[in-house]
Parts: sequence; C-alpha cells; structure tokens
Amino acid sequence: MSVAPQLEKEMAAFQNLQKDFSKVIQSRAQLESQLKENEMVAKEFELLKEDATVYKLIGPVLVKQDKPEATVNVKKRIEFISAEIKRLEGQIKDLNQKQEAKKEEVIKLQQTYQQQMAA
Amino acid sequence: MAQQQQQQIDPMQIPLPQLKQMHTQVGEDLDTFTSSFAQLKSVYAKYSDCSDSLGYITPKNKGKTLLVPLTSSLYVPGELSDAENVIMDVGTGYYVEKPVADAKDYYKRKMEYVKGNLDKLQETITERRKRLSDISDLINLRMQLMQREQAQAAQATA
Repeated sequence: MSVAPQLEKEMAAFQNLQKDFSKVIQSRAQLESQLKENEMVAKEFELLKEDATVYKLIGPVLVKQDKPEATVNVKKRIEFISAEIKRLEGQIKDLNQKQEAKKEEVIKLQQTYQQQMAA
Repeated sequence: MAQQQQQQIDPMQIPLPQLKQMHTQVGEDLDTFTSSFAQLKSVYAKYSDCSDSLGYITPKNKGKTLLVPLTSSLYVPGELSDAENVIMDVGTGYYVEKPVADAKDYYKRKMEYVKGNLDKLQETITERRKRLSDISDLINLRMQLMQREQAQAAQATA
C-alpha cells in the first residue's frame, strides 16, 4: 500500500501545528509588550503623589479618576496579563511537544515512502 | 572562526547546509534587531521632542496666544491658561496631570531608559554582525576547499 496519502495528511497536520505555534508565540509577544506597558504605568503611579489628578481615556474623552482606583486597576491588569502569559507558556510547551512528535512521524513516513519509491 | 571553536566543535566539520541555515538564522535575527533599533530611536526622538516642547511652557508665556493644531493642517487660536501643569500620556490610556518640572523629569527618565536599551541593542547588533560575517567567511572557505578537492579529484581521474 502506498504511504503517499498518509504522508500528505501528516504533513498537513504538521504544518497546521506550526501555524498554531507561531500564532501562540505572536500572542505571547503581544501580551508581553502589554505587560511591560502596564508595569511602566504602575511604576509611574508609584512616583505620583496621593492626590495627583489621573485621567483615563474612555473613547475620545478624558475622565477624571482617583489615583488609588487607577492604581488598583492597573495592578489587576498586570495580574490578568501575567496569568494569560502563563497559560500561553503552557500551550507553547504543549505545542512544541506535539510538533516534535509529528515531525518524527513525518520523517518516518518519508523514509518509508522513499523506500517504496526505490523498490 | 574563533568563537565557533568555543563550542568544542571543529568548524570544518559542520555540514554546509547547516552552516547556511545558521547564516539565514543570524541574518534574520540581525534584521529584527536593526528594525527594533530604528523603532527605539524614533521613540527616543519623540521623548526628546516632548521634553523640548515643555521648555516653552513657562510662567513667562502664560496668557499668550498660540495655535492649536486640530489636524496637521488645521489650526485654531488658543491661549495658554495654565503654564504650571501639563497632562501627559503615561500609557495604557492613563493620563496624569503634573507640574512642568515633574514632566521634564519624567521625560528625562524615559530617555535614559530608552538610551540604555539602545546601547544594549547596539552591542547585540555589533556582535551579531560579526557572527554573520564569520559564518560567511567560513562558508566561503569551505566552498573554496570543496571546489579545490573536486578539481583535484577530477585531475586524479583524468
């Protein structure tokens, strides 16, 4: 029996895994830059006086906000983003393993295919 | 080729395709770093512009008329009513009101931060550039050797 269709199928599966993998990597990079930005804002808030005026951009308008409220808000965002990054790290690890396994499968099939072609 | 020997691998033993792959990889890294460098540089220039602009907000200029840009080509006249405080974007949609001096300090800090990163990045770029040229040299050397071997083999059979 020819292994060609199977090889094709596994190849496609492998490419899909690769696509998913780069997608997750991209989201992680995005989250990381968001985290950095939020951390910078948090650091800036720390340097601010307690009674400083803080505005929040909601749509096109700036709305006055209490500094403690804004600080808590940013802290919460940092927590959320960190948790999200952790989740993605798990996914990355998982996808990496799946990719490796698939790669081996494909290589094996390729060898069988070549042997069949040679025979 | 010196740094390749650190890895305890004879650089002459690395397969050529692998060398070429390394070459592309390092080249891609270099591209990413160079574009990040350009981006950081423009951020630095932006902060520097902000800092310069703050220099015009002085008590002396209070009440003076100025042109407020609504778009890049449409302006309306305005008046500087508060020469002590400015509102600035600190990121993620938050804006903070600060005295001019504090704002200047903020930009100074930001500029130092970006400058530090620029310097670090410059180092990395220089290092990658050297690595890239080392790999290129190695590939060329290997190619020459291979050609010579082939020529010798051809002569031997002739």
